[in-house]
Amino acid sequence: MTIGIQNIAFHLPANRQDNAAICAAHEFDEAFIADKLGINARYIAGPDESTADLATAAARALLDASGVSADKIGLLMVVTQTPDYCLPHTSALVHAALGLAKSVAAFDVNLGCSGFVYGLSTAIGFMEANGIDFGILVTAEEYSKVMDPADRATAPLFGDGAAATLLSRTPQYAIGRTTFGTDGSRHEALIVPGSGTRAGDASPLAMEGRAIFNFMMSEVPGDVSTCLERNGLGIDDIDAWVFHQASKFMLQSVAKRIGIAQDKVVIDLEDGGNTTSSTIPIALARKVFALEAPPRRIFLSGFGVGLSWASTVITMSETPES
Amino acid sequence: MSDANNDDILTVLRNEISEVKGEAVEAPDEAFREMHMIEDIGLDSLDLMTILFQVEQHFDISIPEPDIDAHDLARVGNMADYVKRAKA
Repeated sequence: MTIGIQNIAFHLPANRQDNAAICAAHEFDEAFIADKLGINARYIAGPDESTADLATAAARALLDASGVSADKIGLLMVVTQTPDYCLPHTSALVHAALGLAKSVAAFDVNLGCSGFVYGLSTAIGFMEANGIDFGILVTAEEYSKVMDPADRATAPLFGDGAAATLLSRTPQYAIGRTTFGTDGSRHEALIVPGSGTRAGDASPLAMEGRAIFNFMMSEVPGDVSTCLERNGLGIDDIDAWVFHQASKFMLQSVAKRIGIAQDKVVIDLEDGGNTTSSTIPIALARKVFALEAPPRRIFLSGFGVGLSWASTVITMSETPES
Repeated sequence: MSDANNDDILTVLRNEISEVKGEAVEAPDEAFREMHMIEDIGLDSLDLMTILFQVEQHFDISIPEPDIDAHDLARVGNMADYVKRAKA
């Protein structure tokens, strides 16, 4: 059977920061954060809690919940832009922590908010090409380690977290055609300056909120249309829409522009905020797969850092195995 | 739209602001021009971002970030004048 999504688990750090705490420290408007951003709390990793730690916890939760033993895993892919080290790759650390076999292919993918959708296509293509039956796609990010906690544009918005997705030949959901996009000319809209080899002083995460909003409103509707067309579908064929959880305001704005009924748009920001590449799998786990009667056909779209975007459609398998 | 007069621009701004606010802004044109979108009409910074995007799309212009504060574009009349100059 074709490889698809069998299960998803996630892990959030223990340190919960609610809106009252963040507003008391920085004079943010609590009602604005709750109503417009849609966030009540975000989770912040401790100083000794790394991205690989979050990734490992999510992967362990996934294996436990799925009843799949670690020795069956043939691929481990970690999507992150806040790795434990510039080198080695974070997936190597997660590989060791999980005690996976030496025959496992483990590599990182450096993408942000589009990373889960990119990761699905990359991991499944890799598994199909190499005859691998079980793979784990992890998304993990600790923006708190690269953010200025006093920055009004980013501090209320982002939280740390990780998600792990089990890919197998007994999927609950099959993946359709995926569309991708990149506009590297706007890479400075969301950036951590001085964090790599390019000369410059190190400074915290900088986000041009209006540039990101304009990008989303300009590029995502067209990508949605192209993706639907490539999958032979129309807007009304989609039962639920899971966009990258940028903010409630962003989701409602783009849904309105595309012409999607707001009640079909999954919003999962209240408890955890924007966890970048993990928002889509966490939303799927909490707000979609957990339903008694999950929707059959779900549209996924990730967009952000790069600037980069990707969309796909997942469809419930005819004979779900779990 | 290759050109725009004051009435056209004010009508577009009124429609966009009313759409974002969720209710019609019915002040006469002269009073409407004097209104500040945040302080008088009750929009917030994200609403203003939406208005700017819609104005850019509608009039096919680009509004650089520094111009927002430099020209106090949150005030309706200033925004209308800015668009008129951009389309001249």
